Amino acid sequence: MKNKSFHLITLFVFFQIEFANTIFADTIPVAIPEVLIQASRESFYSASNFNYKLDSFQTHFYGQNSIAEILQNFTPAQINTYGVGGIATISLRGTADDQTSVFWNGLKINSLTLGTIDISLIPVNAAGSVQVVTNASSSVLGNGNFGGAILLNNNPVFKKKIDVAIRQDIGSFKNYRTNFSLNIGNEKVQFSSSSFYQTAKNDFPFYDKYKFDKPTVLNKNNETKQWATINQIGIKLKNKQQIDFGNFTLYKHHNIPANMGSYQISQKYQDDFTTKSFVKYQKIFSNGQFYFRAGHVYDYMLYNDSINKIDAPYYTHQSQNSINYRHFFKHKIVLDAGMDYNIDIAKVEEYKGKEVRHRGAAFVGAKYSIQNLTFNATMRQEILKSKYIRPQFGITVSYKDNKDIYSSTLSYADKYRLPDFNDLYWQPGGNRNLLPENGFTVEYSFALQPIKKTSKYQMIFSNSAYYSFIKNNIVWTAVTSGLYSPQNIKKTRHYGIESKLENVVSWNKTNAFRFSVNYNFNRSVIVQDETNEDLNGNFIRYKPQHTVKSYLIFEDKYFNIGLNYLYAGQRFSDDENIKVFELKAYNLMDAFISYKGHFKNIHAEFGFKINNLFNTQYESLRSYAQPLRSYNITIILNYKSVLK
Amino acid sequence: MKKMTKKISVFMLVCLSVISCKKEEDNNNTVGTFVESGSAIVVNEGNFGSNNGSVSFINRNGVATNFIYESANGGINLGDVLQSYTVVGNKGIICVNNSFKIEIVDARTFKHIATIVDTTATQNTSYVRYALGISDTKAYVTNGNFSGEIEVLDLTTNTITKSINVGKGPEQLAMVGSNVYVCNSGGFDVDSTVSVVNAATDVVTSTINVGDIPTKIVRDAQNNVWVLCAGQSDYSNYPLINKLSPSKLVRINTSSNTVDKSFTLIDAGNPSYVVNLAIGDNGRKVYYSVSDKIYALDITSGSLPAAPIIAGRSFYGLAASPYNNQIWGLQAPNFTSGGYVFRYKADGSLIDSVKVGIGPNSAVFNN
Repeated sequence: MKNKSFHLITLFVFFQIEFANTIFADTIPVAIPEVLIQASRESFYSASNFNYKLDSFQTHFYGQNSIAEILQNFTPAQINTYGVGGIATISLRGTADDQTSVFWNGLKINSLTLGTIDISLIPVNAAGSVQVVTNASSSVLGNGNFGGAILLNNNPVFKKKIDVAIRQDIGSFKNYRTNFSLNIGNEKVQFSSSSFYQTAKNDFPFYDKYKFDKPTVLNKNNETKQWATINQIGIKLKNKQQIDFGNFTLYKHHNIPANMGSYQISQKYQDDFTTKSFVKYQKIFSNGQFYFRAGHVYDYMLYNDSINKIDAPYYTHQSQNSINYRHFFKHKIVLDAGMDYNIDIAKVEEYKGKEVRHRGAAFVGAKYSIQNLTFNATMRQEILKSKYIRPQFGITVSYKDNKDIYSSTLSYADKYRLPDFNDLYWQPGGNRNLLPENGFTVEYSFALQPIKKTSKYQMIFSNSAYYSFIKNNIVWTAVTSGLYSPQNIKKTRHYGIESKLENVVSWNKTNAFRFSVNYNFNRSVIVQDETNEDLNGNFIRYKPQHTVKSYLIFEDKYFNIGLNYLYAGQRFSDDENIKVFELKAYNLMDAFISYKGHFKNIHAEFGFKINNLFNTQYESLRSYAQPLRSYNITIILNYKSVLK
Repeated sequence: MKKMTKKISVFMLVCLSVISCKKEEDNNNTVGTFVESGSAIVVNEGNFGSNNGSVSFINRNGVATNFIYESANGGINLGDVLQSYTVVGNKGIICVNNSFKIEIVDARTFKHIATIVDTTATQNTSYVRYALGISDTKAYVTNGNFSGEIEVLDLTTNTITKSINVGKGPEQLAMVGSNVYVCNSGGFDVDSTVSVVNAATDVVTSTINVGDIPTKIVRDAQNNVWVLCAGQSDYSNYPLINKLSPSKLVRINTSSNTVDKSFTLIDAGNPSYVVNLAIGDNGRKVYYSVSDKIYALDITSGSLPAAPIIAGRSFYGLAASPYNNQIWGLQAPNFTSGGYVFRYKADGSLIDSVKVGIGPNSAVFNN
């Protein structure tokens, strides 16, 4: 405890010194980049935080599937997969799966009924930019975000161009995926479209450790069929006005196999259909920006189990509307004011009726830059019928030196999460009296880039330390004989560090060697469980203390070759931390090679990837089978031209 | 020193061989095995979908040993949602509901003997619930949540030899003479009957109407059976649970196979919940729970007891020891951490609580 206090005081003193050094220095006028003027409130106030941004190189090699693989390999995110082709949820910094928010072009797309997001339903091409905001404040992003937030955005760049690509992936277990994308436009209009169709048998063999003699079992009834289309158009109007429309529609049918250890002949399946649309109007003034964004998220889910005669459809609608005005004052002072109004509707048989929730929120934010320092302060007041949520605050102080060698950020963020609809309305058990979960996160991070930008060798070392405390965690617990209901009974603490070392050696435009290693330490523990004191101090289930992620890539004009490595530490599968049921640590390595050819504006590529190179048996979640070694072939044809 | 070591070694070998011989001579009720007289096996069903069901052993002194199956079988886990455990001769039958299997173990050591599964399209192990020993080589297992059936097990070959159709969602069963009484709960639907099966011919001989959703059954000292009917519930005003049909405790006179006693535990429209039933005091007292209260009903009584003998705790399972008349309440606060066995004296005073595995639902005593 003394050590912790010492570190906190040291950090505080450090910032005082940095502040004193820089506040009296000369003002250097810097033009505000266009991207910041146009940025949404979410992006603008998250930009100062410590973020992980995924580049096109990373998405390229994992482009055959959902963004789950990319986040798993290149960010500290923990992806919990319920088997290949099945549901995948995301957890950041040891928080629960429903405590991370995902936004697509400003629309929150977490499930209204469960609070989680099935990240397997988000294809790689759903977004041009993928960003993990670690200390995402509820004052900016609203409900959720204890672990952080994932921002998926498509920002049109108004250039005269055409870019057409077709991609075919053929993988093990009869996995076929065809992807087509088109980007076309000029200085006034930009249109982008991406669609894919995928079928996969996914009938991989695995050793079933839950059966005697660990027999090799075929994962039957695991077929997946899905398609998606993502379309967006951006139009620049007169007088610095712009209007954007976007739609993302996906259908997925997935058969659900039996769990490991089970002798069931499964006939279960799940259908998902989602369509998300937004329209955004914005106008740029000489000293400001105004935007209005209206969005609608429709989710349909059907769970069917013919053996048990279960046919359970879920229908939800989320209408999300936001207005915001940003004003740029003198002396690099920026003020934002905005409002949100959301309507949540769910129709689920177990709710015994349609449930509707109206939510409003008012937002103010300020950003002030002086010398090398930038200050962010944000405040949000949620307005919700019959529930008071205190104002949420977020404060960030960031520093960047003149030579761009060293940057650091200290941030504090209030956080809350409303109970999901199942917690409130599911019968039996739903509890309408639940309080929102609430807490805060403090984060300190720095990045060091000591080598000159002109050098052939570049190195960035970044490190982030965080501490989160969450109260009123919602847990389903026994309230009477055989009946369970969600209650606000748990307090949890999450702290750790995330370190990343990135190295790039590039000796000409086409040759480069990249090496990156990311180490995450996380300690997520139960501080108090009101129903069971014995659990106090225990680790939260499924949260590894140690994870390592690394990649090594060599790029040439004609080929790429690389390795990906993941280490996930030992995890407990229950709150009791029972040794008998723990999941062992595992190492996974993928390898890939691709050959590239260029002819005028046509780019062709042939890639070969080996997943799970060393045939590791592992479990991401207990009882859900994962495949051994598998292969993937990729063929890409791309025509790209900048039109004159 | 060497001589002394040799002497000690020889002495220990002799002792061990004497102990071994003793164990072989006395297969049942041996201290040090899992059939020790006065001990109990606690079934911890585990969290659905997590393969963490387990079995705990509580010896006659109340000391618990958890995960005895894993210890006896090289760490392999027992399965997903352990519904019940039944001792038949020297064998233990474990119904592992969501693993779709019946596990046969040596009741003395808990070493795996066989796994009975049906992988045909009929899936006769698709929803296994409870077992009952008919003889040392034959057992019945209830199965199915809609069209219910009893699977007949041959314990010499460890196979299913036939299926007997009964009502929907068959649950617990009890045997009196050659008749087996099976509660037809309705499973995912509603049923209100008890099937009577002739265990010699494996034929259903009669069906008795009892009350909605009969789930638990016990045999009393007069060789009659008591059936707990949960009744249908309306959860739309949760946490108030209104009964759509009454919860009942009924007695079936096994001489006439008719209901000769029927007590309403909860009237229709009332907010309460009933789950548990056990027989104690050498078959003379029926214990049942209503919400967080446990009552003791004398089998000769004409009315329900006014006051509970235990109150203030909600239990997921209930058992009564024939060895010392203790009443055990099994508590599962959630399904992500271990549960507890609360041990009470026959008068309802608390003795202690013992930590067991995840989701304890029942205890089976060794006589």
